[in-house]
Amino acid sequence: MTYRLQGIFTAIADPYRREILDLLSAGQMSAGELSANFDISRPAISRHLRVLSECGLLDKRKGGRQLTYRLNPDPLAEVFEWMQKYERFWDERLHKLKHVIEASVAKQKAEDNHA
Amino acid sequence: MRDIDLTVNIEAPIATVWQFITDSEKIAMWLMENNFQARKGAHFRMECKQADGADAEIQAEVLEIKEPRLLVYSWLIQKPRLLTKVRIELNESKNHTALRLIHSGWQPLGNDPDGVRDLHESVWQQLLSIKLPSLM
Repeated sequence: MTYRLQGIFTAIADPYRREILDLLSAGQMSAGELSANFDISRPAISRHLRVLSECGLLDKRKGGRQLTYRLNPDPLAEVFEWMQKYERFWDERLHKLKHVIEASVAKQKAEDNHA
Repeated sequence: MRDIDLTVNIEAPIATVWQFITDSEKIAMWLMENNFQARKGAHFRMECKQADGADAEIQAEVLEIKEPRLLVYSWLIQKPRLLTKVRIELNESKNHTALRLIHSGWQPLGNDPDGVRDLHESVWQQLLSIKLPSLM
């Protein structure tokens, strides 16, 4: 479990930040353009942009006087890898369960035959 | 986000399979050390030994229990902090019992003290269901 993964989860846990990612999935925007879509202050938007940038979900680019932001979905792949690990975990455990139960049933049958 | 949904066919009567998913000592034989109690509302812990050595404890609570067919418990993962849900359904047929496990609730919990927030059909759906499969 990486610190980075926790960061990505925290970043996308906030509805404003998900909204920002949503807007940017349509194309790059400046902080000002993004702010126009929200009822929270510009500094608040900046803080959200910083959180998203820190975990690698946004690429910043200087276009003239303004910074423009672009979505980088790559870090989300880590979320998927982590989930896939969980899926493998359950797959292994359920097969172990099958094995343990079937062995126990077979043992019981053998004992019954002896009795 | 997509649920984990797995089915395994076990050659045993449903009552036997039920014991192995609701008896603490038997659960430990295939899943984890635990202090499970087969009672709705019971809180329990699972000791999760991870391959990377980072042991984590799962906090859980029995949400639904209908012997011998249905068992649902919450499954709170510590890192990253996520409140998820494990649902186990048993169905007996002629000579085996089908066990279906659905692990759901993979939305981010984040720092929200109230737990999982409602997710609207925006970026989460869009990014994770459409864009990410291409990255996998």
